[in-house]
Amino acid sequence: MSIPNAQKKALIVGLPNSGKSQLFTWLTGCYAEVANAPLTTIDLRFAPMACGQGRFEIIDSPGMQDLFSSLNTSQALRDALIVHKPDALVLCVDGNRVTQSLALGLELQTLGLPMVLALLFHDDAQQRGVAIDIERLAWICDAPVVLQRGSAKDLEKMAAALETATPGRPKHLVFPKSLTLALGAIEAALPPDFPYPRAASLHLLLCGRVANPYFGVELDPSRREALLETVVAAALQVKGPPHSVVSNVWNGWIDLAADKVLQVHRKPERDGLQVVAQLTRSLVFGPLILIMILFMTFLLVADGANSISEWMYHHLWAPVHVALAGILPQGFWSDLLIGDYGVISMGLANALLTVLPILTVFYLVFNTLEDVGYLPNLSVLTRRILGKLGLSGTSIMPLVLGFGCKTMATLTAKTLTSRKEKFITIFLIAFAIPCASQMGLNMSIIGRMKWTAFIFYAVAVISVAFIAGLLLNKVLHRSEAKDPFILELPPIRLPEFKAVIKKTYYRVFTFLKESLSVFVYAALGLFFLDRIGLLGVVKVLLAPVVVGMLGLPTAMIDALILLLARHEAAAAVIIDLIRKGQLDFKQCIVAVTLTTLFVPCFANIMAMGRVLGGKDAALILVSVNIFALGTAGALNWLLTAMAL
Amino acid sequence: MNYAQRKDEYLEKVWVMRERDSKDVADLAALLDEDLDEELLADLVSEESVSIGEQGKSIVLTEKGNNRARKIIRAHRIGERLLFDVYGSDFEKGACEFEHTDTVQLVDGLCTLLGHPRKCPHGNDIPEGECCRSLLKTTDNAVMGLRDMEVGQRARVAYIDCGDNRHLYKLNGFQIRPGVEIVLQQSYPCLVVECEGSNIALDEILATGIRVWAKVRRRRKQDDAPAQRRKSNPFRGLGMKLGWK
Repeated sequence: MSIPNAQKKALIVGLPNSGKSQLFTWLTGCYAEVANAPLTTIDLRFAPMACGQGRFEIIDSPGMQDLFSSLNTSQALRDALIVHKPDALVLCVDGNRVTQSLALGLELQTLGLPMVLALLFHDDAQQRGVAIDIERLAWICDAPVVLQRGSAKDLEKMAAALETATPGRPKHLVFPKSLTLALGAIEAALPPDFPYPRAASLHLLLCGRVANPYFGVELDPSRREALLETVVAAALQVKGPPHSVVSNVWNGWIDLAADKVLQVHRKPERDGLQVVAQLTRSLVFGPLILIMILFMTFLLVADGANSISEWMYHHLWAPVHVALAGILPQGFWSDLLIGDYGVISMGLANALLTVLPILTVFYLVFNTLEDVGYLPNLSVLTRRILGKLGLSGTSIMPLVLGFGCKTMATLTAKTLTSRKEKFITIFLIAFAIPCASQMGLNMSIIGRMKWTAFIFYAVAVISVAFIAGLLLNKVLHRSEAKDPFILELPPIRLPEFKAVIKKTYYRVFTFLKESLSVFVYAALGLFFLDRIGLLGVVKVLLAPVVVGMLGLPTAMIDALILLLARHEAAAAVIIDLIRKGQLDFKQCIVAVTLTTLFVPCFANIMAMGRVLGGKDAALILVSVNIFALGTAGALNWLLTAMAL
Repeated sequence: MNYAQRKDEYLEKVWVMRERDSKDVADLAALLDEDLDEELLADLVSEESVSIGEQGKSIVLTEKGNNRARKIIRAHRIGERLLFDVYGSDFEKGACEFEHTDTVQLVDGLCTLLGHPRKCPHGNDIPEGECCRSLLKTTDNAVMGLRDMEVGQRARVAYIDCGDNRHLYKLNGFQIRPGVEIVLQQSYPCLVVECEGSNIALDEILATGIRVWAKVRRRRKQDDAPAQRRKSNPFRGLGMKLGWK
């Protein structure tokens, strides 16, 4: 999507979790999902700038720790630079991580684009006793620096700075002569109108043959070889290994810049929040805190959300149902609108009165946890366990993100370099990780039973996930170089309720936009399947499995079919079954375990295909379903044996 | 040579001039390898490291500049001593690089290792360090792996020993690099270090390559107390200097 009348493009870049999406929202007025976690943004987003004369189109990009290795792994970033050719960069400088941001800025300035530095989290830094000298920062970076706190004035300044920015040369940044000569030699050997020649030659010098340093530009093989020979020859000219020569100069500059720009008034105290962060990661308190959070969320959903949804069902739907039953003629119309598969009863009422309140409550809790920055800290606790499953550290974030949205998590798994890990990670996301809405609804379903049901469910899902991971690790026995794990943990902070409520609103809104029609069409589909008798046939065919093996009522088959359309629709049917008293304690656990593990949603399947290719995606899909049925069957057998 | 190192070079030369009883700016220009950089000199004046006489002809170190130059000279000459003792010749180049180290512990550790030498191979005086004054026999600072640090301990990164350049580059991206201070926050189930204001979780594979200068805590209790006592006895150091056992 591109806006034709915007003349110039500005690309927002910065470290992971440095507030790029926040800045995007401020600059454009378009909501971009923000979280206190890295990897929240995975694709590019475009919108015209709301202030100024609207001459700029703003592009939001995923975060990067450094330019060159991100270019190798992130297609989105390559697209942003090569396809969209921005006219200017907006570097988000995180006030808490100025040196890290400047290190990234040094790499970015090799692109030779005008750059504006947007200083964010300035107040946080001040609270921690660090003063940032903005004028000196602008001087040493030779780029305009604009403080951003979301006010209209700040945005005006940003618009003005973007209009006038020119490519800068950081003060006192001098490369040794041999390095400059080598870079010049490589630059001369690049084909004419190669994009970003300075950055490309530096990238070639640092990475050589290993990387894909051509910024997506296709070179014919003979030209490529000639270029690589030039690179090897140039690297030999440099006195010392090129990467250490370059990093020495850069690090020296960063020290100088930090010395000029930052003033530490007092040593950062160990504030309470940092202690909390440490506790969440500690081996003793971490699991306790996790269990406590899970249990409190469970109580909020089981007692709070369920009573709201029950109240709405009884007071808002029941009278309407009675009234409609009085007006509508018996037979076709009554069945179509308010029957078992009625468009209003199964479609609208389930979506709006059963699912919506539960999701709203759960999202409030979940978004608060995201805003606090709790989830990434979990990766420290789970690191060793995941190691047992053959997963190196880099796959932790996709797995953790899976608890938010499985589709997004699957897409982020694309950055994993090992194919085996990618497969295991995506399998586990599809199989055993319930996304936020699944989790909320599962809690709501199980919350209608005793709380022990939740424990049975959790133990079943976790152990099955573990077994599946172990098996896959054994089966896919391939020795591949693993990426070592390194992850910046976001600081734990107090939640901002305005942001949480806004985000919940957007999530609920997206849910309604995406799935209200699916609820209605799914009900309509089932209604017609039922009318022509096909549903009956399917039920007879599936009965041995569902009733015999899983010990569930035949009505559960409706839910299983709805799973194909949307998990939330299936959950609403299960809640209905409980209301009607057709599911007991044991059946409830089996049903929820089954729906958690059974077919992932359509978007997730598409994402799997995009990342792994059709064959592997199909393989995962089939095996996930077999595993799911097997697990539910075994669970049914086990619970029966325990006489529950 | 970066900007900070060039400034160090100027301070060092002014110290050498004082040893030769000179205050003349022209002498400084002669001693330097580069042309006299007026802007840099002005920077040194503005940060109160040197003061320049009225006609701009004479230059002397201020107290702040003196302290800094003392550190540089000491590191340079200790470095020369070490390299000379180990290699025999061509020690000058290494010492020039070494003098820019900011790690007092490193220099003191080497000084102790060499037996608190008084003269560099050229015969110039080596300024005394804290270690010589307290005559520590053993160094209580050592280069150790990040994994051997204790939780809560603060240390400076000495060097990073990575088989893979990409790891080095990755760590550099997080600003984990020689010279920066880090605090080990947690060691299990996964290492967490605080570096430049952010918390970073990392694998043991990466952590084993990170070497830091840190106090060896095990020894501290036994060592520090006698060192204190030795310090309080002025005659003890004198005796050692005169070669009494």
